[in-house]
Amino acid sequence: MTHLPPALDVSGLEHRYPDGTEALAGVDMRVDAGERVALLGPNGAGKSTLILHLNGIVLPQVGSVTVEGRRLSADTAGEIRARVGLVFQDPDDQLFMTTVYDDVAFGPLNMGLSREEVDARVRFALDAVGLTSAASKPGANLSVGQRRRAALATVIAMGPAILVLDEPTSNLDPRSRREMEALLASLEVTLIVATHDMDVAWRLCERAVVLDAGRVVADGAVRDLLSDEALMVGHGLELPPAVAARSSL
Amino acid sequence: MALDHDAGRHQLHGHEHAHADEPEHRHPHHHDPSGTHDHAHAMGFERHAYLVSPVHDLDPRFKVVMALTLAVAAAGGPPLRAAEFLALCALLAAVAVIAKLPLGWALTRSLAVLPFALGIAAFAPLARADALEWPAIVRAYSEGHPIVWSIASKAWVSASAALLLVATTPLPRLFKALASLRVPDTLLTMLTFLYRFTDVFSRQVVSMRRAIAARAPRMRPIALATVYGGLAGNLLVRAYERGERVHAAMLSRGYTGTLPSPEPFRARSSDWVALATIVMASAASILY
Repeated sequence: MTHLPPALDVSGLEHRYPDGTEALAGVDMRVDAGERVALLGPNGAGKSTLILHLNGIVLPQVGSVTVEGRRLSADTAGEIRARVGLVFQDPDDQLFMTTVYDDVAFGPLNMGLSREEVDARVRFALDAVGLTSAASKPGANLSVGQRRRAALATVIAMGPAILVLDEPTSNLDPRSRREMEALLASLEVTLIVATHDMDVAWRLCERAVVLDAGRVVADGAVRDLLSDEALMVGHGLELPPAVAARSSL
Repeated sequence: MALDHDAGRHQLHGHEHAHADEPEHRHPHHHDPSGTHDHAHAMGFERHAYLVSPVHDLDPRFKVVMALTLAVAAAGGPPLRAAEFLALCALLAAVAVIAKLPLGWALTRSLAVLPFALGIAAFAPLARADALEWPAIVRAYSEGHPIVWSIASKAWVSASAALLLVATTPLPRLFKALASLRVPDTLLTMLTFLYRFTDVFSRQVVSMRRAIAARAPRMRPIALATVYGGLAGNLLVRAYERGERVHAAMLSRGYTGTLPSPEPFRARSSDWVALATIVMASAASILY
């Protein structure tokens, strides 16, 4: 059997903002191909900063990020961005072109693909998120749920091996939230989901990593961690409602 | 309906169609499996950009050149004489009629340039006054009224040409045309973002104004002005932060400093005919 390198290997990662705030204080995290990992933690725990490191928007100051065996640096950031797709929390940040079609085509065009290949990828991605009929709309004309899915399509079209999402279900009504969850579950990629939505973490992911004050404070099976009231509450989180209801019986 | 689109269902395409309460229009769209499509029917100045007409049909690159030709011809020459002005008006009106634009709407929109033009025109005769004394100033104005007319009429003709261009071209297409006419990338990126984020920011302004109204329903003008100053500063900070996040999102998708090159346009004979007409009309108005 061949031994594949892990999809993602974060080792001793530290980050300090220019004002001196320490955002990451030595993060170690290893994710294998095909895993679905929930990244949990209170506001200010360093989740967003960690996410920005995963495809080289921010480069490591101390420590390293390795994607599929390739170490992240200024030289490799370009290739790694095509492998690690980042979906930002606010879809208005991600939909910056004049139409949804152009937004989804933006990544593939930057990859230097032919017009036909780009068109095929845009169609595939819009079909995957159920927005084929909205291709010619400006991003601004979509509902919040549609915008979220369009933002996801912009990344799917690049064919990434690892998908990293920042709060994919925040501000969504229950139906849009269910749709987003089902959509994410249907994707065959390595998934890292930063979320405060414990339900989504519970149902979508097998594994959870809890981040607090820039450090990994727990890493294990999602059902073990999310049932551990002391751990959850101790780090500013909560039990999923279903678990809380069961334990109060 | 679903049948004849079956083959091209997933292909981006456009065809004339009309909905209840709306004139015939066309825009690129995909059909979903049910054979329907959603609409991007724009508001404001883009309201008529998706109508179907020979003017809408022209290659947007040619339309840009035509509008520029008209504007340069009108603005570059000597003051417009009445006949010239009327001829240009007739030409502009003819284009508006062929484009099925409501004339009242087009006229109102084009007049929006006058406050700016008249603002400049009102002071222009002063440049002729040899001294800043009343007799000299009065003389300058009594001799200088042709300058006021000249500036206002040229500004209006130029603005109308630009209006006809923008009103008959969906902005995404117009930006693509500008890109293939080699307009600098930075400028285009700015235009694209202006178009995309105006709405986002106006929503933020609305919600901030509501927040102000909720906490300060009856405010004196000066206090209100202070609060709005704060609002403007707040918006600037938000815009800057948004810019940083959008930039991160662009980098994430492989942005290296240039927007992806647009699909090529293909000029047809009708585009050349229209361009030739405008160029000849402009030349005639200059040589006349």
